[in-house]
Amino acid sequence: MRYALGIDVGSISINFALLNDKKKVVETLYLRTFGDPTKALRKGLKKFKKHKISTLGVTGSGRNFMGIIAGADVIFDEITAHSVAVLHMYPKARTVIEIGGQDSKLICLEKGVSKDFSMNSVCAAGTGSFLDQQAARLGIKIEDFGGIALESKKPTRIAGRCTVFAESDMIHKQQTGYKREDILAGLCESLALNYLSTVAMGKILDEPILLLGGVAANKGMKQAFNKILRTKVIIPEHYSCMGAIGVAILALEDMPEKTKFRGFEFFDTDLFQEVSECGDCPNRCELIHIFCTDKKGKKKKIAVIGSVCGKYR
Amino acid sequence: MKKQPKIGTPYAGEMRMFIYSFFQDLRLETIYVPKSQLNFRELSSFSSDEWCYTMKLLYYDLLKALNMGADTIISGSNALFTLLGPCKIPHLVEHRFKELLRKKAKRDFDYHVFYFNNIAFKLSMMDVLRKMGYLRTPGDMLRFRKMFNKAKLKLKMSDEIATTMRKIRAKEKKKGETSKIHREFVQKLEKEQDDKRLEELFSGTKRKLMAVKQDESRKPKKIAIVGDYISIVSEFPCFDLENFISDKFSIEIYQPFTVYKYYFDKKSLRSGKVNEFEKKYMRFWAGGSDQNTFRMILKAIEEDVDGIIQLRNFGCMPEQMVIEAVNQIKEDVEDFPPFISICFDEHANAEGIKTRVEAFCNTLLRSGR
Repeated sequence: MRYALGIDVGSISINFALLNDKKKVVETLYLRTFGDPTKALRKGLKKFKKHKISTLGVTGSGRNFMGIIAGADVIFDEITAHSVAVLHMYPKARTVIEIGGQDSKLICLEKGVSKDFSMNSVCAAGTGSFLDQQAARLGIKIEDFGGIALESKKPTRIAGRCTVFAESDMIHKQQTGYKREDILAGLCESLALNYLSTVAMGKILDEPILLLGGVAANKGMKQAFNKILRTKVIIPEHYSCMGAIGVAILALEDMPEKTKFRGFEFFDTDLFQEVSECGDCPNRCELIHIFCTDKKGKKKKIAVIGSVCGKYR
Repeated sequence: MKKQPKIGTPYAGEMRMFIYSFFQDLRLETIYVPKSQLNFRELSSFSSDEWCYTMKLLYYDLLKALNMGADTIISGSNALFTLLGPCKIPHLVEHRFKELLRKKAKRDFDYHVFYFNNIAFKLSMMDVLRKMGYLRTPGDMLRFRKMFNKAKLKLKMSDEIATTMRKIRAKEKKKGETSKIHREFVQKLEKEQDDKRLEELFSGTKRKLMAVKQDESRKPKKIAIVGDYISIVSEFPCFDLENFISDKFSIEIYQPFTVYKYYFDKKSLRSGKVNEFEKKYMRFWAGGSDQNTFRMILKAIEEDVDGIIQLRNFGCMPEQMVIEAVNQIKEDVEDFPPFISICFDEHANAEGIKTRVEAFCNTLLRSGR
């Protein structure tokens, strides 16, 4: 049996998906990075050591860097990866709402292909990091956030244009005695509304609508979308790993004769980076030199990234 | 003996070549401000965020020119045409450039304004040269006509080579070959003034492009890039969008707006459906480049492109109007191509923009459209 490994290197989490050559999901893993995606990558890969990886796909905001380190056969943006996963597992889906740690996406599907998409541009309100931050400020575990929000009978109105204004609005509501569950439910609704106006841009979203990303675990957000869209959004089984599944499918579609994946043993070595500045033109690109130590303990350069002209690849 | 001026002007794509052609004919030194905007963020320390990105680009380039030794600044101005529309930012900002630059550079210099406006274009250049003391006699006026025709010819050559290059690049077998030929051509064209050598350069480049080995089995997708001209020709924060798309995806770039077409072949930008749609969806001009961007979009649809990317300055109301017009057209026109608007300024993150562009290109490549 041949296996494809998909890795989605996000801003706050790294997700893995192992698929067999029939595109069936064998195993998945969701890990928080806590600011060190390389460490999380090493930790995550250990889970899949017993499988022989025939092809590797990497997606997510850290795809280019991690793709080089891990030896990816394919590297795709996360929107394409999500679309592919959804179309494979839920071919009748028409709309995908994906809210990650730092960005949000909307993908419109029609006749088996992605017809349109958009992402948040300048606004970060309505992303997972903000919910994390507010949960921490209120002394709540993020896992409990949604459950508390569901207890609300009357969600309060919270400003949704900007995370700073939303927070100050929430503080004001707390100070004036609003119930915690009403504030949290109100926050979920304002984030959903912000998403619909800035990312969806007032479009009419066709059903069935899927909700993906780490935020989909928040029951309060699901309820907020259900209420505002007046429908039931669907949260698929692998909602947090769809990007990894999608890029694994893409890797299977382009299966190489020999994978570029560096192998699990590679991640037992030391990996480190050095930064320099190229002086060859006025761009003065910041270059990241990636090194590992070989079996003899010698420093070996794997790649250089960061040049605009592509001189260093 | 009067000291020869050193001319500095914003990068502004082909506009620089056009303006400099006159000064090269007069054998004056011209300063070439590099295209790179990587240190652009430092602009935030001395320009207002209320300025649009275009204004910041123009201002920053002038400052760089002064730092590189220019003592005569030819500033490009949008102010004339924005007088006609509600967008007054260029009008409000540009007249302050001279004073701001003097304070920043801490020295004096000559300052002239050239208007990027198709009504005042020729007159504007005459005015600049007259003020600099180079058009005094009827003989000078005759000479000006020749200079103008040469500058126009260079624009036409640049336009033709760029159009040819873009078609071939999408199918080239050896990646980077066409863009290398084009880059070399542009570098030489900017500095060449001799008529015979210009002709040789043009026909030689055309031959080289035609000789590039192409994969004829490839049927590349075509994407139009539209928006304010100064933004399109500048580099983004940290990367060049056209090169990025062409190199990574082998997609043909269609560029509806070129300086030559805008100033000398206006009919090509106003044909057929453009007028009809303008009357219905974009009757009012906001004063920026919105009308141009809108026309570019319609031209792109006529050219049957597979996708359209709008480059929009953060906070630019005219360009936002275009998005609204596009949303309205989409409801009425079947099969409107996929459209994405990328908003940016000096605070934008290159990786975020790249992700959106990659997703757009991958969507097109996988859509079967």
